[in-house]
Amino acid sequence: MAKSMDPRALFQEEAEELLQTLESSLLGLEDDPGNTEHLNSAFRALHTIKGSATMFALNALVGYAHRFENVFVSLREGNAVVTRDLVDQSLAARDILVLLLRTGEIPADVADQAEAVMVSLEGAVTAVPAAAEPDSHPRDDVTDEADRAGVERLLRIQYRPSSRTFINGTNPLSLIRELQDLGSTLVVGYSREIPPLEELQPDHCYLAWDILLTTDASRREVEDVFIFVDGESVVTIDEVHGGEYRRLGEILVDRGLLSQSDLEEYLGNRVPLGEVLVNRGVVSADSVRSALEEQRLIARIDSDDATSSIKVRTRRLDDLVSLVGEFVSLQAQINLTAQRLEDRELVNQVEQLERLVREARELSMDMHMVPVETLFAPFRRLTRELARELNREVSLTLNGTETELDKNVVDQLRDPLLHIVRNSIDHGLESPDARLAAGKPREGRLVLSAFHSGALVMITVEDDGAGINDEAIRAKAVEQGMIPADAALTREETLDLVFQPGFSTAKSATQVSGRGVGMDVVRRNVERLNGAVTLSSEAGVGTTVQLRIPLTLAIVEGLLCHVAGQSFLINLAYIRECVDGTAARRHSSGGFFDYRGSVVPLLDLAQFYRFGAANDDDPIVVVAAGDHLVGLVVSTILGNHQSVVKNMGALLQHVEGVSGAVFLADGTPALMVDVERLHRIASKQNRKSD
Amino acid sequence: MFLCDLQQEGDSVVLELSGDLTVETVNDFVGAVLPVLESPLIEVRVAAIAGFDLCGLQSLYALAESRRRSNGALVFTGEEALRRFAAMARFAGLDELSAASTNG
Amino acid sequence: MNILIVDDSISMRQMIRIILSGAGHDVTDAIDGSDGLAKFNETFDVVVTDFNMPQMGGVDLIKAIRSGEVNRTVPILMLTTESEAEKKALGRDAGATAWITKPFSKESLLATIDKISRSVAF
Repeated sequence: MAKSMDPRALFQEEAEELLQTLESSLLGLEDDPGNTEHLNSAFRALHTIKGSATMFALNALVGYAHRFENVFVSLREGNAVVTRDLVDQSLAARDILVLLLRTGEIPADVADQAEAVMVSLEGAVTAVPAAAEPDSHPRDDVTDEADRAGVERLLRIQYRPSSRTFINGTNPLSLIRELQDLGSTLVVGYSREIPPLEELQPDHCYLAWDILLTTDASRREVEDVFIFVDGESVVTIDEVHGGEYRRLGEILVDRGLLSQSDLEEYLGNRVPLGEVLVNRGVVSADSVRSALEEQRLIARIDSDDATSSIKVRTRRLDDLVSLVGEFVSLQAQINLTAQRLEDRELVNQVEQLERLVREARELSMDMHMVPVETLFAPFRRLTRELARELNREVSLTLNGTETELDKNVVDQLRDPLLHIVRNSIDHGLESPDARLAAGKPREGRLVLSAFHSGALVMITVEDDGAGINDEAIRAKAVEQGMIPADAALTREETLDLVFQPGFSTAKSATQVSGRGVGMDVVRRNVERLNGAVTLSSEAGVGTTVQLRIPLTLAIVEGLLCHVAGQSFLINLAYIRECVDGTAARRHSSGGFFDYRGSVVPLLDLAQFYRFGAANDDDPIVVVAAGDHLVGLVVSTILGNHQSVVKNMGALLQHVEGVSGAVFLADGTPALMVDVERLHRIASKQNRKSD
Repeated sequence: MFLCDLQQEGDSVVLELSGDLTVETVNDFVGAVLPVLESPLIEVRVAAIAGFDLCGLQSLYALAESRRRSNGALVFTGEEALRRFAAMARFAGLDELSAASTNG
Repeated sequence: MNILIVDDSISMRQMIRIILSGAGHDVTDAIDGSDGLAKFNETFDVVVTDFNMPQMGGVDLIKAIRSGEVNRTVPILMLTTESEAEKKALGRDAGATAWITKPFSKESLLATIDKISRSVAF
């Protein structure tokens, strides 16, 4: 018999056959009531009819078959025994199914009979559950009040797959991918449970995840991702209430990793919490990492919607940054101790700790970062106002506004930047008429840009104005008595005169004085940030002022060196290379050496800081200030060191060549070498000595 | 299909993996590596690995963990495959394999 | 994908075959668990199996595949008319990857297959 390809027609045929099977089985039961084979066969026939009928939405048939099937469930479970009467009633019920199959519904004239038959069957088997409609909508769309779809929020999902996950054909990565489809995710995987190979059950799953999901999906949608995970897997979904920065401890308590009383006890230790907890094995490093990620994410979310309450949060962030700073210092001490003890296990743990500290440091710095947009934005309006006031036409372009910078740095850059922009508009850009006469468009161009370069941020202010006439600057400087009339200056040095105190004392800023107004103040402010400011200009074409600013003030990674027994730290952001002093080719004058094919000035730090003089074979640290290299001669190089930089007290603030101090692991201080300043001194000194 | 070709080169052992390192084949991998776990240097060449899953990745972490505990050197080579391992690890929020391994 | 359908109901098999082949999958039929196990091999990407079947039911089929030598971690989708947690748990404990309750729509069948077979490429 050729079977039809239409499933509905096939179902009709199949169901007729199954009802035939059901009849034979019932008759078999009548002869042999204890025959389980007949019983099972009857049950399966009913079950299959019901299952297929549901697919064709034959609801009346499904409902009746379901009740009928339940009777057989009871019989199979031994809750009742097969009797003659039961078989009779079953045969009657089977005939009703045949009717239902052919007509789709119970004809009105047999409806009462059909119900009576079923009720009597149900009565014959005790403990049959009350006839329920087949549960075709097991997952009603109940909307939970907390389950707000359409509102973006942060969910913390903890997913601990059971060890059988891989074997069960579940791929956790596809679950993560599904979560990604719902919003933006931050995934922290836990690999610490993976044993060494010799203990590994190869196909067991040892991995676990914390996933932070920012989504507007409903909770139900998120739960649906995990609908098929097996019963031994653990999935918890919690809403994390953003809007407020939370301390590490709170997050850990919230996650059930730590009790409130334990937290209070550990907090009493005055040592960074994450460290204490990890060291004591109270919570794992991964847990701390995950909690820190959560903290960071919330901080980021918060910074996205900058509100007027930012001052409160900033202070809290400052607290965190200083806490992490202490963390960093302590880490350095532990490193030293571990090395001294030569304890392998300790060294391993310290390595892990170091990784955490690095992350905590990046995190805390990250939380402290704000986009340069906040610095640049006010200039849109300021430029317009200044242009009108000074009768200029200016188009302002802002580049790289998403570049992030320490908030404290941003705050301290506002004034210097204002000075520079004001100068550009006032003295750089010409009046519209003058521009036309010079063959330029009426409208002057002013470009503020920011971009990252290693651990520095470059901020440039560029105009296409008249540029700076260095002859005029020179004349001005001579007139001010700043340089002798016969001084031989490079173009760069000439332009640098603009930043000298005194140069700006010109009564009124003119084309000649160029950038006179406040440029010395600009340099001082920028240097206070351990940054540098330089100027380049081409007459008639324009002027560019470049600020080089360290990303953050809080923590500096530096190279620790000894100079005549004193400790100095050189910011890694500036270091190009360390050169073995015995191999370096020094010029006979002592002021230069050959470095990668070019001649680079040397600065003996011992001599500079007046500790004495260096040996000829002392190591050289090559640093770069802008495009210029300088070799700093030190006595010994000790290694990398991360630290919080402390400001020098007011008394020592103006010591040349030092930009701050740090405390070393053993509690002794080390001075931060002011590379930008030293570079200028070195080039000046060496020019003199030649 | 998975093959683990094992070659002794002096004190060190080179494991040349080819085929798919997945939950289906991970037993073969572990079986092949266990006997040579004590070698001073294990070099795992994963260049020819065509496919892998999280379970396969997990076994490589386990190998790295073993070597870390015994202070034995472990080197993974095979740029393309390692790049893919690293991409998967990043996706899963795990440390990259290179960080988990000890380079001797 | 290459999909093995195991169901004792010919109309169910036919219906699933139409849905899956319409979505571009290759489909092989088996009439019950033992037939399914005989036809099962490493080429299948997904197995779809009914719960109640003569000869060998869905739970036993899943157990047999999971403890076998070949392709034992294949994603397995269990069809059930039972929405009760107990029945689902039975299949899940045997190693079913997912389940779907009859009646199901074409879309939900395809979505579920997609969900459990979705590989993440790197």
